[in-house]
Amino acid sequence: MITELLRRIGPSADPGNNQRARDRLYSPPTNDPAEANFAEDWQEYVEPELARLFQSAIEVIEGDLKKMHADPVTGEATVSIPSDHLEAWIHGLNQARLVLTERHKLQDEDFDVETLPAGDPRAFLLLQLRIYAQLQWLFLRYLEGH
Amino acid sequence: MAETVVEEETKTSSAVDVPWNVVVHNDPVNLTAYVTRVFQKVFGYSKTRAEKHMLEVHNLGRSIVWTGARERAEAYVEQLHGYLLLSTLEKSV
Repeated sequence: MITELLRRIGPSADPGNNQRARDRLYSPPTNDPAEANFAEDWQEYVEPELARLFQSAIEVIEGDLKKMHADPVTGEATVSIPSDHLEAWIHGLNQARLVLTERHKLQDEDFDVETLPAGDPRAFLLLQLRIYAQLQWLFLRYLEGH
Repeated sequence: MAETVVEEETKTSSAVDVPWNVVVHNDPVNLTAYVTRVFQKVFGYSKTRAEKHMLEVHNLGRSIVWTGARERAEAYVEQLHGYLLLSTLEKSV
């Protein structure tokens, strides 16, 4: 289960053509209508740089996951994450959580649900979001020296 | 007849450096610990100061995290977008 969730980080972080997700990843740098030129320049010059940055984090994660190996006896899988890859993992997990939230139009109250009725299609999604958040938190704690 | 050239002295109002605010807006997804870390990394803030801004964002919906020259403010907004925080540039009133 966890292995599958890890493999889904990259695809989950990809906004594809989902406009809500794209709008979240590439939010406007100003809310001031008088700054329209700045916003246009931003779209032209900054957003492609951001896209490259976001993609590079996902590539680091997917590179680490390619080296994941399963124990043939126990079936347990192990993935080694170099400490200098943790920033990329934190970023990629964050991006995946943002994209999933927008793609599935989740609201604040959806995150407060403790239990869902059996068969509710949101159950797996919420589990995925919680595990990604937990991993992010663990990596942040590690970087803080805890 | 000699032509008289009148040179007009024009007064240009130089664009006075109006300070610009870098504002971070709340969103329900970014973890509080993540937002704190980003403020520390981008602005070099102490953990206490970074947490103060994080709590402002969380409780009030936004926080002015930095104020100063436009060019630098733009660079900060770009960095914050790189960390996927909702951030905008606005004139300091």
